[in-house]
Amino acid sequence: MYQYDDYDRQVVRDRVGQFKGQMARYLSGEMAEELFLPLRLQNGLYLQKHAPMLRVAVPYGILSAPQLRRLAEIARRYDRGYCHVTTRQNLQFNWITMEQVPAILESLLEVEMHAIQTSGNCIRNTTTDPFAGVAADEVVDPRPYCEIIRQWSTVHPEFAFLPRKFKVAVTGASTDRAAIRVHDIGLRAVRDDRDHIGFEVWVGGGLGRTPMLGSKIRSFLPRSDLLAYLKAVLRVYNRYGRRDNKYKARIKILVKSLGHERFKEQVETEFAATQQQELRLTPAELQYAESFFSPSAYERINVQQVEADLWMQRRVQPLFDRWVKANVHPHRVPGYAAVTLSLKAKGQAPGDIHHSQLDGIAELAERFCFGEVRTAQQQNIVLPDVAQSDLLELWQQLTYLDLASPTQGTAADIVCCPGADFCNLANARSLPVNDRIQARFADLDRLHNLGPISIRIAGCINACTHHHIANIGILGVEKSGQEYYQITLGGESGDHTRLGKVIGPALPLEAVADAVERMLELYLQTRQAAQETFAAVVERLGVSRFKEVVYAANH
Amino acid sequence: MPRIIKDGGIVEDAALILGIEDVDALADDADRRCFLPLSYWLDRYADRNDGSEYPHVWVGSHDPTESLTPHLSKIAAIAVYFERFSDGTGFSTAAHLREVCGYKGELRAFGHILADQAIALRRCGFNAMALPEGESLDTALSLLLTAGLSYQGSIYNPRTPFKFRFQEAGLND
Ligand code: SF4
Repeated sequence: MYQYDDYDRQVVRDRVGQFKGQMARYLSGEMAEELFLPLRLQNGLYLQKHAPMLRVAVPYGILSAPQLRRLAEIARRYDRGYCHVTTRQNLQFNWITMEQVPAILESLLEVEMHAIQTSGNCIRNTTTDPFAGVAADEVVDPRPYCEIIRQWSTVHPEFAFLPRKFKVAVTGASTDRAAIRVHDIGLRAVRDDRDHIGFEVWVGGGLGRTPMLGSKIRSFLPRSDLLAYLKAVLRVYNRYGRRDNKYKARIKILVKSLGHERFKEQVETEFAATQQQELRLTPAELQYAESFFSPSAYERINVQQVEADLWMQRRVQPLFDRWVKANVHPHRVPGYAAVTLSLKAKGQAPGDIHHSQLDGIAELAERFCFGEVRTAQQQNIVLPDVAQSDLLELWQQLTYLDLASPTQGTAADIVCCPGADFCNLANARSLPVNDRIQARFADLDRLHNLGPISIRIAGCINACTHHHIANIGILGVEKSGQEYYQITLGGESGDHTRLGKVIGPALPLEAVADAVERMLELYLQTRQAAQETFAAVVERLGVSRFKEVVYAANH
Repeated sequence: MPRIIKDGGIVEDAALILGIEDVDALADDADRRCFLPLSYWLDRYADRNDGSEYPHVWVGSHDPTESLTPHLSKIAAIAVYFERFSDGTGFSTAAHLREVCGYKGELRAFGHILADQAIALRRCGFNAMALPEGESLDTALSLLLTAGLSYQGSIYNPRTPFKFRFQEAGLND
């Protein structure tokens, strides 16, 4: 992974120092609340329902073992023993005090972490495929470009006060696991026919109140031009994006109102006028960036032997077998695998992680995974580089840590925001919805029989959990002071990203899990083969059939 | 006399920045430098070509700054108005004027800006700043003088984040 040098340390230290000063002025009354607000947001500090919340940046989701241990220590010392993995690969501490923030920032700085630009109207943490660098279907490793973008966007003088937040996602695989079409800018690293690396550039995606998919404005941007082009897009947005209405301020609205052709034209004009030599990434710089992401020191493995052993282990241990099926993923190096650690154990808020688990993962990462882990957009943790011969032992250890739910990608792998239990913006609670749906899937046979299904729950229209692109999306709304839930169906992420459709009037909390069950029952009854997924059946039958079963029984 | 930051120092500056409502009354005050609103400036001076000196102009965040492009060489100073410190349009206006239009004259930030923003303002091409009441010029100046390292450099010295790891140039821009 990327290692800070003195420059990186200095940039972060300067910023932490500046923020500490601003905070001191605020606490002493010298700086007014309304001035401090955007400044603290730019430094990841929110005021939530019960306490301040600090969102810590995890650049493109990569964490080292020492960083995990430090996060565990912070959770123990300053929080209530745990932290929370967000849907943007970041981490949140939900129970801290304002006065502790400087000490926490110092502590993070010691392990090369910070909370800069994790909130506010600026360029946020760049996200990517949790399997970046190891995915079997990878065309280009996106991590060096994520790091280049991280540095370029950190404390950028021109783009600290944009009309609204700005999110960039990068993928380099043939399957898009970074949801690039629902980001302000989505980049897909590709190779042209001469094997030169460049990017497809997608602009103007985003969910929230006005969900939209991004459109492609470049099919091949040479990688040396990456920063000059990003600058051109951001500058057009910063100059012409709307600021009069917070709900119309994202770049997607600008792209829509100009039309994607005109938007593209403006970007290209700005790009043509400002692509100075100085902003071009030279081969030496690209190589330097790549040097931090060279392949792990894989051992040569007798693959046949390992696979035979694994086959045997799976036969004698059905639970292990189930976990391998659901949570273990192909790796580009024979004999290795990537593994999902589930943060969705029953009774646990999705994405929450206890300090003892953080310490445990750190140890397992060192033993089995070259000391590195990833956070995933689905609010899980990924160990990217595990030898297949270690899987059984890893599974046993994960079981002790309660991180081995064999549910990755199933209906129990629910993505869910903190909702009204913590978040000030929420219209309804989301955690109880999660608990109720989870409770229906105690039977693992049944769960696995249902195959891959994505369920996402958001406590308000900000849609932090991307419920629009879930097969089943659940959105908390408020109707005359009561919590209700609107269901969308047919959303998809990845290469066939598609927005779900609302199936009908919102339901009260008690009815949501039933509705989900009924839709899943209909699926089981109507699928033509076990291979026909829920999403495929929704597409074949149409939303109305599902709507019927949900609402028929309510009358 | 009011003071502003200009070219890395604090100087006295009596220039008036005129709103559209009082421009008629004051624009001809020959003793003082005036910044005129963009629309007014365009009306009065865009077509003038008598070789005499042109007054300064100021632009707001929604103004069509493009309309100034053909006249830039005639204008010695442009002030960019910040409606709220959290409205960052002006940063890009300045960067665009410098980088794309090649504007070489004075670029002054005024309105609701914070001393804390001084470094970013300079990096985007402002060489002058008038701070609102309550914001300290001394703080802003000391920030400018001690500005640390940045990944992006500035309008005057743009770079990729890695460039300065290979070259020892211009680290403090
Ligand atoms: S979706 Fe709404 S309720 Fe949930 S975390 Fe985001 S803002 Fe808060």
